[in-house]
Amino acid sequence: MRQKQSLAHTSLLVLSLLSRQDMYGYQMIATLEQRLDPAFSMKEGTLYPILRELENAGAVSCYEQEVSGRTRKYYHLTRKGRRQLAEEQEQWERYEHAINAVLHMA
Amino acid sequence: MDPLYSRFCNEVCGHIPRATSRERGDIARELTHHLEDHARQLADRGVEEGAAADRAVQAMGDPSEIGAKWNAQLSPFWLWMGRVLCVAGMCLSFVIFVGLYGERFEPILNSLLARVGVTGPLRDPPYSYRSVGEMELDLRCPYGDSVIYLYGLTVLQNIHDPDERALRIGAVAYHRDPFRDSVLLTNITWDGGAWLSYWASPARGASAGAITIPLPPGSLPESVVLTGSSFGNSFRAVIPLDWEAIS
Repeated sequence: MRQKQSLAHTSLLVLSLLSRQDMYGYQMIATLEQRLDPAFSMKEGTLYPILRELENAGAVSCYEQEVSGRTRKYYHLTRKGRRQLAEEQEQWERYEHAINAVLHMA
Repeated sequence: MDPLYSRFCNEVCGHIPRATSRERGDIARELTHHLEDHARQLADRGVEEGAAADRAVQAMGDPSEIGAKWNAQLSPFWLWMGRVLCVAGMCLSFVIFVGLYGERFEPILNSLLARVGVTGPLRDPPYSYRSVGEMELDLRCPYGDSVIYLYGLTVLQNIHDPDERALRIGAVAYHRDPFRDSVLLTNITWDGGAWLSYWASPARGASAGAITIPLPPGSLPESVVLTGSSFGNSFRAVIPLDWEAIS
């Protein structure tokens, strides 16, 4: 069985998810699971320190909302977070382009 | 709450010393909601309830790693503030305790200090001497426009050397005019090896204190002379000592 690769750039993925809608922790994990290649794995608990880090940086804010009798903590992407997302996305694309340029060298 | 969840949350929170108790509660609640959501999703897919809870916890990862990462995101301010307050509280309690019950432990303290070689002369006289007798005085001595009233004396004996004794004399300085300030006892230079061992120097009014005079070793003088001076004024008091009355 192939060893699962750990997932880097989690903050980029989190910012990207939150750019579409406000989400709570497990919702982010479930969405990532649906979209990602199963070869990639993420320890779910590590999402929360990342969210806290983004919150400290002012990239996300959080609020509580009651849904079906349960209080959920939702995360919201701030304007600063959108700028951070754009920067990280650009860095990632540049990195990907550079790697591809080497891999596809004739 | 499932005991698996609470154990996991406790382990995570155990690695977040920087969190306040309220933050720990929030963290535990968020993680528990996550675990419950995941387990419910697994149960909907047909996984047995106990196994679903177990898999949900497994999927979270190492609680110590999560806790350490979370802790790194929190400010150490409250952690250190708590420690500083704890130490300050202990120091304050100790000071209050010593203030209230210090005298009871003085013999033990003196015994311990004597064992390590710290004896009377190296220490502050009021704490290495003990009272062996008292006598009332009623001496009013003029000092410029003020009067120095000597109202009582205590005979002190060095706890390590019974021959070494001193007199501690209670004194109050007041101005003849009750609306004016008296000379401060702290401003007077005392002669004959005497020193002001306690004093209260209020901003206005009278000045109170205690003057300690060393006695020659082994002697029981019939009287001692206390002299002092400052700003051109001088003071002289002959203090009679009735040793029978004192002891």
